[in-house]
Amino acid sequence: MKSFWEKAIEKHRKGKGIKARTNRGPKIKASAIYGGMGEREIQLRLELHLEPILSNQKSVLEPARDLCMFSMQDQERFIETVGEICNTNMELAYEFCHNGVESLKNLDESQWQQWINTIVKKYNDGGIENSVKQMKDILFYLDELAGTSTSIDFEDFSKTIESLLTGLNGRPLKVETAENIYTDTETVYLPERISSQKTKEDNFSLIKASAIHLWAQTYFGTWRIKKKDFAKFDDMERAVKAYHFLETIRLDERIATELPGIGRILNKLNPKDKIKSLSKNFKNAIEILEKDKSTNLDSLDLVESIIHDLEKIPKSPYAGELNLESVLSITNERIDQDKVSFEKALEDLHDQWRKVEESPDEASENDSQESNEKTFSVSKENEDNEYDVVLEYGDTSISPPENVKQIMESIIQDFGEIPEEYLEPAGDGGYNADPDNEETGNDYDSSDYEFAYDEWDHARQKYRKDWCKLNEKTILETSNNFITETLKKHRGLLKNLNRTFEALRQDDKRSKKQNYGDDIDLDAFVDAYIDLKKGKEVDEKLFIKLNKVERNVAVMFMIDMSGSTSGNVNIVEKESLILLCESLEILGDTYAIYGFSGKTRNNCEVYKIKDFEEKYDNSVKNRICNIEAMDYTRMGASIRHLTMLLSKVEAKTKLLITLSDGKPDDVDGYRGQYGIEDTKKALIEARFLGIHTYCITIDEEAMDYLPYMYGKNNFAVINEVGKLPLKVSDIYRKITL
Amino acid sequence: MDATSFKSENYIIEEEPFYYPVRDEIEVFESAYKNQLPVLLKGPTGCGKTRFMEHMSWRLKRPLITVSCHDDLTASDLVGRYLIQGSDTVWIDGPLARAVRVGAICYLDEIVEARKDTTVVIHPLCDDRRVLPIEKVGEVLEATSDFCMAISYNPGYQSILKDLKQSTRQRFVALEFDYPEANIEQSIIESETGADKELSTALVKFAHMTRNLKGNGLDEGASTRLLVHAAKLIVSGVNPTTACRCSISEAITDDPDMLKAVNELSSALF
Repeated sequence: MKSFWEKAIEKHRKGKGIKARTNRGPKIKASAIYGGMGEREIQLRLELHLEPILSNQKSVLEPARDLCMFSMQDQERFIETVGEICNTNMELAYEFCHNGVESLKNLDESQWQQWINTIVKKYNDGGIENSVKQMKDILFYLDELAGTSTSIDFEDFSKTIESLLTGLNGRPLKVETAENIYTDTETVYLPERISSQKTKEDNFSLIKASAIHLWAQTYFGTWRIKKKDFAKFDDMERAVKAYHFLETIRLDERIATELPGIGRILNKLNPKDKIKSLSKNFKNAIEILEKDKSTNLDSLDLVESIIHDLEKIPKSPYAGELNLESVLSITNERIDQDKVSFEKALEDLHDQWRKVEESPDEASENDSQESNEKTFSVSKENEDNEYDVVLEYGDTSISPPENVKQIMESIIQDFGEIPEEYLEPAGDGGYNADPDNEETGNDYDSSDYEFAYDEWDHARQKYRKDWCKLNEKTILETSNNFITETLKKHRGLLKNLNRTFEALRQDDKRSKKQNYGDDIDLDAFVDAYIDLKKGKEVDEKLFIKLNKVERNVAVMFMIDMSGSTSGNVNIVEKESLILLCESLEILGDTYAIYGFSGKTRNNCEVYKIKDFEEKYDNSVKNRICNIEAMDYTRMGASIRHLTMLLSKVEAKTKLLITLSDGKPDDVDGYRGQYGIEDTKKALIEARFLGIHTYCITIDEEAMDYLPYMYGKNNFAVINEVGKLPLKVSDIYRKITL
Repeated sequence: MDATSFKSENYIIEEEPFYYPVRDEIEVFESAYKNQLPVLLKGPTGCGKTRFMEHMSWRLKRPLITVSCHDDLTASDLVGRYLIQGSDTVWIDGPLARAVRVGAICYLDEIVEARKDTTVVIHPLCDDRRVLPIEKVGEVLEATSDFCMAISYNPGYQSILKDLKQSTRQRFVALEFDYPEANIEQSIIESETGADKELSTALVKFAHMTRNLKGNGLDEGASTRLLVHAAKLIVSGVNPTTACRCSISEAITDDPDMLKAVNELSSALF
């Protein structure tokens, strides 16, 4: 191993590197003050790491000089760390040289690595600026370590706040971090750290107040405004500020009625008496807004009266700001979506009710003509609560399903009511038109193949010999934070799944009439006693024993990777697989995951994501992340191939579960009856080998063909794509019980 | 003071158990009873299924024999078994046979907890035959018109592990129970505990918040029963936040994050 100096000299001889670089800066003295390296050596060593980004403006002179003051050990630790950070990002390492020396003074060796990890994490999460802020914040970091900090971080409060907001009524709100406090009506943005209050508890109260304030904005109608409402003011920004101030007063009052505990906190943070004493206008405004029935329109009207006195207002610490732009863009999108979903739901309800009313029992009272003309209406149940509405069909009030209730609530949140036009019967428009599949223009002729499978031609009632050429490929690994995000997103669900799967695993079975066991089998005992009295031979099996039920299940998941799964379906498929794998790991079942797609019979493809032997490790996870929508759905060949793989595994129960989004379909005539018949045949072949088959699909028309292909009890149709992650694990548990 | 002991078939409820009808469940049950049809009650825990049975037992003036089902419950536990007395064996009726003999209401609580082979013994009693064959004795017990079979289960959480077989469930008149609407739930709390309107309103609001969390980390929201518990504590002087913590939050979850969130909800309200 060459020493550092030897390497430096070597580089110097080659005419690049250190010499050239050091010439750019002013000459510095090479001296070691505290027994460590001298300035020159430190500089050179740092430059070795940072070489590519240094220039006349960017040198490591200053850090080298500062580092002289440290012991050899500290210097080496520092330089080594710079090298490590270079692996993440060189600019970050450069910034570390300039901002990190201070931390050498404050941290001992045991704290060092954790500190570096924090810096790198900050960089990964929020970029270089974020990380530099953290480097400069060393004293605060020390406070944190010592537990003397009064501040509270996003990580500490986000979970609680998110659950708190979920518990409150209204549209579910996500919690995310941002520089400023605001909401876009779907996400609540809160700062990374709150430290303005004296104690940790007070800081938490403040963040809680902010979160509830933002929730109240969405629930009590602050956002039932349009941009043009502010058009009449010369200074729109000022007008929005005034509106926010007035709304804060109104919302505080509403919150105090709804949530008295929070109301007390708000009043402490932003006392209204103080504002009242400012001027007559303020007093008047507060009196109007404190009334029960005041709305955001009252606030809007009052903007004029206070807009010139904005400077007088004390800033309320929890209110944050109104971010008009972000709200408008999100709201517009949601309003359209809600309208479509609501009209679709009404259409369904309309159909259902028409069926009910057309049933023979009631036909005498209602002729179908009349019932066709019935429309939906909404009436208010309770004047004080705008959310308390009843949906009526004709004269009958009906109780809509939970999802429709949610849509209605979301619409009321945006408008304060269900607008009339939403209730008119929808036209013939199909809302769930499938996006067109994009055809890829690849040339797919290939003569290399690993496997050939027969295909069933139902017209001829014969197999086509070696008709499909199939290749098995392995999905490339990709590393991103999809897994972490998914686990985070579904953490509540995951907890439930884990528990239920755990329960499944620990299922005990009581075996009666055993030679030994935990309890006496009373019935066996009585029988034995009778035998004894009769002088017969006495059976010694008198005990009840608890046995663990051994699961011996091997399951193959066959994932549809056809073009139609692109976009959202692909994402939920991946999410479902991640949750499923987590659950299966608990259960200990043997499982494999393969994707399938292809184009024409010559290019059937099966993609390995996980085989039976593999562990659920990072490569499997990374492969799941990289599942992509490909071409077509030639199911028969894939089923035959995976059946072959599954039949080689030893297990008492074998299962082939297909996750799909549509019918079998390929370009060369593999569709309609032909595709369905071949798939059915392939499934029959699988069953013949003792493999249970099951299909989970999101195709709403699946009822037309799945019962025929899989049998009436062997499939599940998930109507809502978003529910797939929950359902897949749930269904798996049910069918393997 | 010693607790009073009754033979289960003689235990007739004398005082009217408080029950607030949510819909027409009382009429439906009475009519099913008249027509000798078995009844299935389904609904989440603590929403009033068992209280409803007590109320009906009082109303119909029939003894109520309740069997809480569990996965060790065998057919013999229900029907009966031979036991040894001195040097002889004697037949002892199980609760089901006893209920048939005396014409009582037999209520199998949380039926899905019992193993599926156990559940099958009630089948002959639950269709038009209305008989209980007792194989070991070689007799068939015919039910009188007084006898009534009722079972309950919670389709929410148990069904994941255990489901009621179609052949069982399709013998019953099914009554669905859910947490009552806000105003009814309030009056239930008020009449059960003597709480005032303000308190009952806040508690029901709190319950709804926890029910919003169902599926987001909570298995179940707070039941009406828990609200009654909390109200009782508060009425007898316990601080509302403490009462909610002890009788509701801690009862519905052990998860520290969830506990914190649920406690935050209650402190937001009180």
